[in-house]
Amino acid sequence: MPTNLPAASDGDSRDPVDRELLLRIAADRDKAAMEALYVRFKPRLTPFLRRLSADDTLIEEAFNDVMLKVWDKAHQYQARSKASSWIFSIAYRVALRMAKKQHRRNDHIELHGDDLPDAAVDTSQEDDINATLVAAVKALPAKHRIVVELCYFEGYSLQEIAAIARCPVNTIKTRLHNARKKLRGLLEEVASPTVTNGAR
Amino acid sequence: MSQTIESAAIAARLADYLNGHLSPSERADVERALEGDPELREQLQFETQVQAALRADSAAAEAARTTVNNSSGFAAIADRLDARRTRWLPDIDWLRPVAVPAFALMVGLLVFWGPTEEHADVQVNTFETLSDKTAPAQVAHLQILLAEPLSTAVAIELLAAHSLEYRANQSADLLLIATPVSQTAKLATIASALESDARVKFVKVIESP
Repeated sequence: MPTNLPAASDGDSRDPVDRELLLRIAADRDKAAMEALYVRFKPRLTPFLRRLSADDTLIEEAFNDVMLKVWDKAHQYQARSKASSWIFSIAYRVALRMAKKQHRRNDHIELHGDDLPDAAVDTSQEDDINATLVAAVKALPAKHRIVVELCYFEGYSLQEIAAIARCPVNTIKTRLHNARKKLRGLLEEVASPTVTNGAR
Repeated sequence: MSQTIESAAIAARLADYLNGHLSPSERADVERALEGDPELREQLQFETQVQAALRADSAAAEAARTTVNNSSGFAAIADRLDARRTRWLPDIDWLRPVAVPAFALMVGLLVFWGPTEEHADVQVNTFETLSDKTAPAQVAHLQILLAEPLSTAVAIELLAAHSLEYRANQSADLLLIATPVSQTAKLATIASALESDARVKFVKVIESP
């Protein structure tokens, strides 16, 4: 039984300021508010975008793209959800496009045997498992991968992810279920390489 | 994998449990289920492992980053803010699934019915540009895609409420053709009113040549 679960919605304390900045942008096209929001969200969004690409230029472009869309659409924010969820819903779409762009550049990670951790390398078993899991997550289809990152990396609730992705909660549950199934399959494959190799 | 319906429901909520998003009573339900179900405990352990792996990977990547950029980067977009207009139409990404079949539909309609004599050489704008068109005289007509079919009477009423004149209703009642009632009507005002109408899915401006 886990005892060190993270607190729910750890972004809540930042939300009032985020909201105020968004509303100032919507009402007055306030550039100072925009800059403040930019600075506040850079450390929050960049790690999420970096989960989806290793290309710094692409990440910078994607982040700026998100923030320009925030500027354009601030008047559409209705303060019914957390400001960060609303901004992440914009980032979700930008991230999907970025993942596709990565795919076109052909530097996405295909999960082949070569990508899996080398058993001969002196790493702990836990490191191996972590590396395998991370590689497996990167190999998931973009829509599954982003949901996994939003859930397990960002810690969003299923309800919030549904709002971000603008789809029903059950769709998110299904994507997570399918993603976990694939990840498990891969872990089992790594755990019993002899059997797997024999099957190939 | 023979989960009962109840344990399947609990399993779907383990991520929220892990992230601390459940109420105390929901947490108690999950913990009760966990105590009696080794399969659920194993799933929770797996999800905890995925979370730990992703967060450790991110922390390692951040620690390995040698370039520290102290600038916020805001300057890169600051100059571009003034040049951007507020877009009144919904997100184009949201529109895309609708826009593609709708565009195909409109092309089909043009092929079947052909352009009217009055607008023989109309130009089709992109869906985003309506708010940019401030000169009503340039607008031949608007094509309005509805969220669901309406009776003609209701469609006329809807258009009148937005200072638009009903001209035609095509494609199984989903596509309305309309013109601004007044030649001096500001398209941006019409756009803004249409935006807040849930019955309208999107609007396309057909410009006069």
